[in-house]
Amino acid sequence: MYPRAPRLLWWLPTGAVGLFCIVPFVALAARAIGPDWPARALGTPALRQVWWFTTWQAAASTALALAVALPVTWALARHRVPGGRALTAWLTVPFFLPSVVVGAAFLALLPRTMHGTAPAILLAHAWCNLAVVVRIVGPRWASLDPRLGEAAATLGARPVAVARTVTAPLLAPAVASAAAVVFVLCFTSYGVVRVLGGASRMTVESEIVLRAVLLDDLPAAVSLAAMQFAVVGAAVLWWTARGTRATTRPVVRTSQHGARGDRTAATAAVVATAWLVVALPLAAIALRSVRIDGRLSLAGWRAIGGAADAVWASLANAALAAPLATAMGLAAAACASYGSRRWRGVEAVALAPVAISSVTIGLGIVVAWSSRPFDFRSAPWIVPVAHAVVALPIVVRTLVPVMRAIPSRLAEAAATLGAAPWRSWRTVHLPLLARPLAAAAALSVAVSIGEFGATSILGRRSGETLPVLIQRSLSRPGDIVQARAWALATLLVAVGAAAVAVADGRRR
Amino acid sequence: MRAFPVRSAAALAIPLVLLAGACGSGDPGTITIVAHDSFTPSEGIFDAFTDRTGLRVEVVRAGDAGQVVTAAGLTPGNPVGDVLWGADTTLLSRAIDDGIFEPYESPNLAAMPPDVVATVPGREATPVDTGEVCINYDIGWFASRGTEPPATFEDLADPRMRDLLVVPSPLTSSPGLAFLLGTIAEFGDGWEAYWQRLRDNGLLVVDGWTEAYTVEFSGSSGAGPRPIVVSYATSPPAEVLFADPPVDEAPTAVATATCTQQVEYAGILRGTDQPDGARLLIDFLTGPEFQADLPLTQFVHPVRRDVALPDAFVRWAARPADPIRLDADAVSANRSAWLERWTDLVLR
Repeated sequence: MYPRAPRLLWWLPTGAVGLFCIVPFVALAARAIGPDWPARALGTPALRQVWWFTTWQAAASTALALAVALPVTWALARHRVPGGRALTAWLTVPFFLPSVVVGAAFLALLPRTMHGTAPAILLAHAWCNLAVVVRIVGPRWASLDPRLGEAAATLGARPVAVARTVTAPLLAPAVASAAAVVFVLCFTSYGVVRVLGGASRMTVESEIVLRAVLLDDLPAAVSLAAMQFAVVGAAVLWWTARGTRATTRPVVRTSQHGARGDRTAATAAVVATAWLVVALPLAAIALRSVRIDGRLSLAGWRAIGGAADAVWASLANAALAAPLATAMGLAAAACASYGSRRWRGVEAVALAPVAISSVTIGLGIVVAWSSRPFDFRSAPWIVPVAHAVVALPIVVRTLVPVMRAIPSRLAEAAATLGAAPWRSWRTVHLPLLARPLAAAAALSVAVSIGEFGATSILGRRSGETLPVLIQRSLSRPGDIVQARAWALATLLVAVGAAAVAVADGRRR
Repeated sequence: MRAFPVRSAAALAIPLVLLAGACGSGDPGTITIVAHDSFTPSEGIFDAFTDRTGLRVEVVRAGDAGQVVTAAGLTPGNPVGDVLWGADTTLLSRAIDDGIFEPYESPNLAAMPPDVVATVPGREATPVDTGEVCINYDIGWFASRGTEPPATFEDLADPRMRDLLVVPSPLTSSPGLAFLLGTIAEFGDGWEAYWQRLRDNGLLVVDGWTEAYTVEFSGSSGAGPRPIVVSYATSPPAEVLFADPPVDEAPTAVATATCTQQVEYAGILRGTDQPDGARLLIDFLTGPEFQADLPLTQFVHPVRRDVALPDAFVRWAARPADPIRLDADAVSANRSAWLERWTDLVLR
C-alpha cells in the first residue's frame, strides 16, 4: 500500500530497541556468559521446576484474563454503553499499579488461607491484564462489519453458530495478539508472584534478580535471561506469524457509524460486573488509607506532603514516554503492515523488549552506556526513553492487527483519485487507526506510570516517582506511614486513571 | 532512493550526539552521591556543606542497596557519581572486591566505636550508621494471655511459641538475610538444626518485610495473626512516632538478645574526578550535624558515639549492649551456600 513507508520509518523503533535493549543485553552477555549458558540456565532439577512453574502460571493466568476480559470487551465494542470510555480507563488502572501495591491489595482482600497460593497469583495476574485484552481485541471487534453476522443469521445460523463460524475466526488474530502479550507479561512478572506466591514460589525473573543482585552470580543470572529471551522470543514470533496468516482476509467495517447495538440485560450485567471486579481491590487500597486500627483516620492523607513532586515526576515521564512509544510503535506497525515481507523483521525487533528480563536491561544499560560521551547511566532522559522501549511491544501488538485488516482497496481508490501517499494515508488510514492509537497511547501512559523494574536500577536525578515513594513508605513501620503509603496508592489510581483518560482522547 | 538509509542514519545519530553532549559533562561545582531509594535525609541538610565548601550536593537514587552495589560493581573506576551511600555489611566485601572504592581515612573515625571502625581495616569505606535487625513482638498479645514474650533465639523454637513467628525470606529481604546470618553467627554449625526446629514449630516465611510486618504481624496496622516478627530495633519508636491517635507507650518491643548489627558504609567511588570534594563530603556525612539527622529520617542509629539521640529513640528503641556482629568476609564467602541450604531446609 505504502511501499516507501518502511524505508522511511524502520530506523525509529529499530534504533531505540537496538540502542537501549539489544546492545545492552549483548554487552552484558558478552561479559558474563560463556558457551555453557544453556546448561547453567536449565541444569538442575530446581531450575527446571522454576521454568515449569513460570510457564504454567503464565498460561493459566492468560486463560483466566481472557475469560474475564472477553465478555466486557464484547459489551464495550458492540454496544452503546453509558460511561463506556470511563469504564475503559477504569479497566486500565490495574495495569499501571506497581506490583507491590497489587500484591498488598490482594493480600488485604483475599482470605488468609489463599495467601501464598497459586490461585492468588492467577487472580492478580488476570486482574492486572484485563486492559491488555480489552484494548487489543476491542478495536478489532468494534471494526467488524455486523452485516456479516446478520447475513449468517438470515441464512439460519443460530447466535452460537454465528459466533463460532463468523466472529471467532475474524477475532482470532487480535485475541492471539492479546494472549501473547498477557502470557509474556505474566511469564516475566516479578513482584506479584513474589508477594502473593509466598517465599517458596520462584519464577525465572525472580531467580534472575536473586542471582544478579543478592548472590553476585551474574553468569547464572544472564544465562537464565538469555534462555528466557530465546524461549519467550520464539513463542512471540511463532504467535505473531500465526496472526499474520489469519489476517489475510481483511474484513473491516469502514463506516464508523451506527453499527453498535443498544444496551441489553446481558451487556448491563457484564458492564456492572466489570466495574465491580476492578473496584474491589482498589476499594481495599482506598479503605486502608483511611483506617488505622479499625477506626477512621485521615492521618495518612495529611502526611502525603511531597507527593505533588512525585505526581509531577510520574506525569512528566509519561508525557515523554507515551508519545515516543506510540510513534515508534506506529512506525514498526507500518513496516509490518505496509511493507513487503522483508520488513516484517522490524516488528520482531520492536517486540524484543518484552522478552528481555527487565533487570537485565537495566544492568545492560549500565555496562553498555557508561563511557563518555555516551554515558547514559543517569542521564535525565534515560528513564522516559526506557519506559517507551518497555511499552513498545504492547503498542505494536495493539496497532498491527487493526492495520493489517484495513483493505488495500481503500488506499488504491484514493491513489486512483490522485491522492499522494501521505494524503491518502492521512485521510483514509489515520481515521481508522484513531481508536487503536488512543489505546496504544493509553497503555504506554499506564506502563510509564507503573514501571518499576528496568528503570529502578538506572540513576534518577530527577524527582522520585509515585511508585518509588509508595514502595518506600510501605517498607517502613508506623501506622501513619503505612496509611500514607495507601493514600499515595489511592492518589496514583486517581492520577493514573485521569492520565489514561486524557491519552484515550476524544473519540469521534 | 539510495539516499534514504543515509538520511535515516543521520537522523538517528544527530539527536544521540546532542543527548550525549547534554549529559556527559560533570559539573565541577557539584558532588554527586549515588544512594539507594531509602536514603532520605532532611530537606536542605546539605546547605551547610555548600556554605562551608562552595560545593553543591546532588543525590542520584538507583534502586535498593543490592542494586546500587551491583551496578557500581559493573563499572569500577568509571563511576556514575563521586560518593556511594549504602553498602551494608552483607555487601561490603563484594564492593571492596569489585574495586569500586578509593580508600580514605576520615578524621571522624576517632568518634566512632573502635569495633565498628575495625570492620574496614583497609579504609575502603567509612561506616555511617548502624541498624539492628531483631525479633519484635506484640506486647499486648502476650500481656492479654498472661504469657512471657520471647527473649532469645531458643525461645522461638519453644512449643509455647508454636505458630507465632513470621519472618521475611532471606532470599528477597535484607532484614530476612540479616536474621538468618545472625542465627548462623549464634549457632555455628548448629544453625541448620535450629531452623529445622523453627520450621517444625510452625514458622511462617513470607516474601518481604512489608508482608511480614504489615500483613502477618499482629502489632502493626495490618493486625495479622502472628505476634512475633523479624524487624528492626528502631521499629518500636516508629510505632510511637507515627501512631494515630498518639500513644504514650510503644505497642511493640524488641528481644535484644536476638539483635544482629548491620553497619552501613559510604565510600569514595574510585575514578571520581573530584576526590577532594568527595573526601569533604565523607567528613560531612560522618559529622555531628548529619549524624544527628539520621535517626528520625532513616530510622538507623548514628555511628558516632557523641550524637544525642531523640527522646523517642532513648525511650523505645532497643540499643543492645552486645549485638551479634557479622564477619563481612565470611558472609561474602558463604552466602550462596548458606542460602541454598536454607532454601532446601525451610522452603522445600
